[in-house]
Amino acid sequence: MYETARARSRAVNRAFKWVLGASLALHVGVFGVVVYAQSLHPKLQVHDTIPVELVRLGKPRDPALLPRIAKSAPPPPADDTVALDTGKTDKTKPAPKPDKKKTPELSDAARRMLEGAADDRLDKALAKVEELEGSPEGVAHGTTTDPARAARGYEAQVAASLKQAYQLPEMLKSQQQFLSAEFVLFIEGNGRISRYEIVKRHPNDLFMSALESLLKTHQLPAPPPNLASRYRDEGVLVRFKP
Amino acid sequence: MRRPRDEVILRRLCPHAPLLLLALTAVALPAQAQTEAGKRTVIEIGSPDFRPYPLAIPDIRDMAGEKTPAPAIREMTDTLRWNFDLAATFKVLDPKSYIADPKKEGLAAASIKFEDWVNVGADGLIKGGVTVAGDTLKADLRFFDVASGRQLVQKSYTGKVEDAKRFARAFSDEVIFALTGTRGIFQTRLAAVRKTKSGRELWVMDLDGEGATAVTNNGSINLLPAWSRNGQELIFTSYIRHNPNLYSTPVGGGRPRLLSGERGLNTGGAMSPDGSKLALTLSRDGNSEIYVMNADGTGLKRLTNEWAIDSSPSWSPNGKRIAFVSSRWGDPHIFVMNADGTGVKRITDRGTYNQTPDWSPKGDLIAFTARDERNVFDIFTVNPETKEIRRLTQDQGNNEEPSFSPDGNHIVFTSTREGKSQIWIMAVDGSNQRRITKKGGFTTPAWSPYLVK
Amino acid sequence: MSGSIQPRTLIALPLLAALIFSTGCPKKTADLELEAARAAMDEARKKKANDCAQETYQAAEAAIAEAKRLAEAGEIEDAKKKAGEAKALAEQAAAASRPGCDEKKTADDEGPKEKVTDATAANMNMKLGDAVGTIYFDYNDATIREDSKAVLSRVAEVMSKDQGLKVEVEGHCDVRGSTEYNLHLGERRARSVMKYLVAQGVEPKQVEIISYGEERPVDMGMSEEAHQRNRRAELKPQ
Repeated sequence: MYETARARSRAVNRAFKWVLGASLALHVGVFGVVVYAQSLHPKLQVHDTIPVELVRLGKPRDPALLPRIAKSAPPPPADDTVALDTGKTDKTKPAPKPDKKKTPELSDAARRMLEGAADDRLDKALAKVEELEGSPEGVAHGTTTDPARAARGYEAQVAASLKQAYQLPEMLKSQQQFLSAEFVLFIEGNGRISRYEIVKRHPNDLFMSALESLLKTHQLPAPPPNLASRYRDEGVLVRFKP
Repeated sequence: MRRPRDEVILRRLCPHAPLLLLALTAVALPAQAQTEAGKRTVIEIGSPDFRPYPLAIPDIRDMAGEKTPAPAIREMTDTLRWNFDLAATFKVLDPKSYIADPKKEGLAAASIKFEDWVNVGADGLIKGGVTVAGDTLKADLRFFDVASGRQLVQKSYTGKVEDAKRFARAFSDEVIFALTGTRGIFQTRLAAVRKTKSGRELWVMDLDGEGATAVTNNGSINLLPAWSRNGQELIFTSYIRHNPNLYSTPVGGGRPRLLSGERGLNTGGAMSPDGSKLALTLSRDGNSEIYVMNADGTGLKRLTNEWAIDSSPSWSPNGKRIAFVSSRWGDPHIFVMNADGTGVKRITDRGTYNQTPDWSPKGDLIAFTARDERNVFDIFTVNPETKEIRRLTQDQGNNEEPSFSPDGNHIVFTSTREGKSQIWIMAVDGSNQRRITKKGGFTTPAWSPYLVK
Repeated sequence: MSGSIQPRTLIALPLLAALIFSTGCPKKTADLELEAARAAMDEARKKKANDCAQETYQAAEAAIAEAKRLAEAGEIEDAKKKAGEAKALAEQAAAASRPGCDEKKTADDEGPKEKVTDATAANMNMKLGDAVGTIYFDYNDATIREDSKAVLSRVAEVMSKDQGLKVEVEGHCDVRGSTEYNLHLGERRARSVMKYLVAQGVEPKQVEIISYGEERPVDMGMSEEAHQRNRRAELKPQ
């Protein structure tokens, strides 16, 4: 009643070849007709090609679907860093590390660190400060009653102040990406760091001592009075990732 | 310029690295907990620009002066290069580009021309000298900072010829620790299930796929290996007594011990981070639910109670929460609950088929398998707080069953991109994907905890 | 088993693609349905379904002949429907034809030499006929489909009359999805079957369930058809 499997696969093969052949013939035929028609009517010559850039105006991806990996966007221009930061790069304060001389490499390292303000949270905090107060120095004391906003503003100031003061010892430049440490800073009402706790230590002693000597001498901006007790008693966690 | 004090301190610290780390964790844990509880803000001071650390690893020298170094010595060089290639933060420079003559240049800092290494673009340099006599092997391995010419790590190893790779892995971990302050993963291992003609058996292997050995060989179906916290045992489901029970068996071989033999399925045994508890999925009450019991098998307690499938528990690193799969909303999704079963929260709000959660040892991510709208399986991570989902694999066959490395920087998974299901490793951001196994038929890989104290 | 499916699928896929790209002629599509039905018949024949599940096998044969006739007569839609019916019947016949069926014949021939358990199994098979076999499930689903209810009702009828009869219901899944989730899904399938049988008057103690998840596929292929064949519950006499 049924063919054997081999016979059937031959039959399928035949059908496949037939379909392929028919499709080929159809294509060749249509193409041939077009060429022939053109040769009959020279006026039908195709115009010079106008290059048109096709822009895909697709819908945004359905948020219920899983994300796709997009092609990476080109990097933003180098000048695109937060104005607040770059403005401060030029030594407004003396470097607090007395045992290190400033070298071109060092300022380069410092610049790279400063430019690295791409930490979203920090950027947003900084942007917010600017937007709200119109001043790169952030919250003017007493002008706000919202403690959360004030805290954000103050922490942005702390970040900017530490960023500016901290310099990676030249010897560690090549290992920069591996270095990280976390401290809890307890800040007095006048901005002095009363004490700090090491939350995450790095085995590189040079790196740790550089950070510690910074924290021992560095003067932070004074916290808003209504938040003074918070920074004195609870402290704030600072993660150094040079 | 050179500061011998630092060098001495580093050298003294290295042998005590694990102890140091332990001490640090003790300090770090309460502070971290405080952060979670007190909502202390974190200020980040740093730059995100990332550049792989260029590392030169010239051929390890045969100190006996043989023209063709012993195979064990070649193996050491290869293992070192393979390791640092795997660590996505490094770039091993092409040995062909090295200027220095590896046969002439010595091991000590004084005898190394660091300009030669600066000129090939190296920031770091690993050098080694090995003596093979009979079946004993002596190795002297060193790591230098090229810019300063400082020796940062130096270790001597003595053992058998077959220990060559082991020494190379141990030294790799030393270098990683000296640079990053976190432990290296090169002495950890992988467990996986291998399909055999008669069933499924458990295997373990080194990270490079070498040294694969069978842990079970009972001809039955053995599934879903998970490591005990001390890395000594595998917890798994086996049909060896017909009912799919949960057992644990010594990795080095030995008799399996019954952990749970409830009627129906006993799957997904996951040990809590402190090793005191075991989360598992049982169907004994007529439906698949998640339970937790003490490690000795006492005190069984049910955590979920739903008509749907609840399975695949994975602990958060602080042991306070459990991620799991539930189909209570129809499609399987990743959920998180407190370790006592309260506070259930769905965390994948995208996709329609999300499974196999594995909570990162760093705590900030849960890796999982999802089927996308083209019916392809891929690996994703989700942040359990923000629910932000990131895709790690795409357009490369089916990729499933992720398991984190103990440092949280890498993920092992299965992929069918080369045909049969094989074991692959990638960095946690999806970069640097590489195949580990040389043959197909491997599924459900599990990355061991740190195995060397 | 799977070897005979693979090359055919490989040929069918480009053929299908070529068809879609050229004309999309409905007559061709009916041919494909017939092809699939024939494949299923081949499978059934290999498994000696004509001996084991004679009734179903012959019904499938009749259906395929009818489908062919309809196709030739130009009734494409009806032909497609009939071919699908034939395929389902053929698969059912194939599924019912397992080694146990041969054992029945051996048992009949050799009688007392058989072990007691085999004799029970043979007895079971004789009583249930081709009813003991395999039922299929939808994707990520464990509900009993309408097309399985007749089979299960027949099993329930026989089993409820003789409480000495026992079955083990094995739940299985297709190879997609995770190992662990599929173990649990497979058990839900087996449990659905048990619940259905019990609702039809079978004593709970007569039914055992076990799940093998995706670990024991009957078809190693990755086609939709292969996946459907693997999403199943097998009823095995004890």
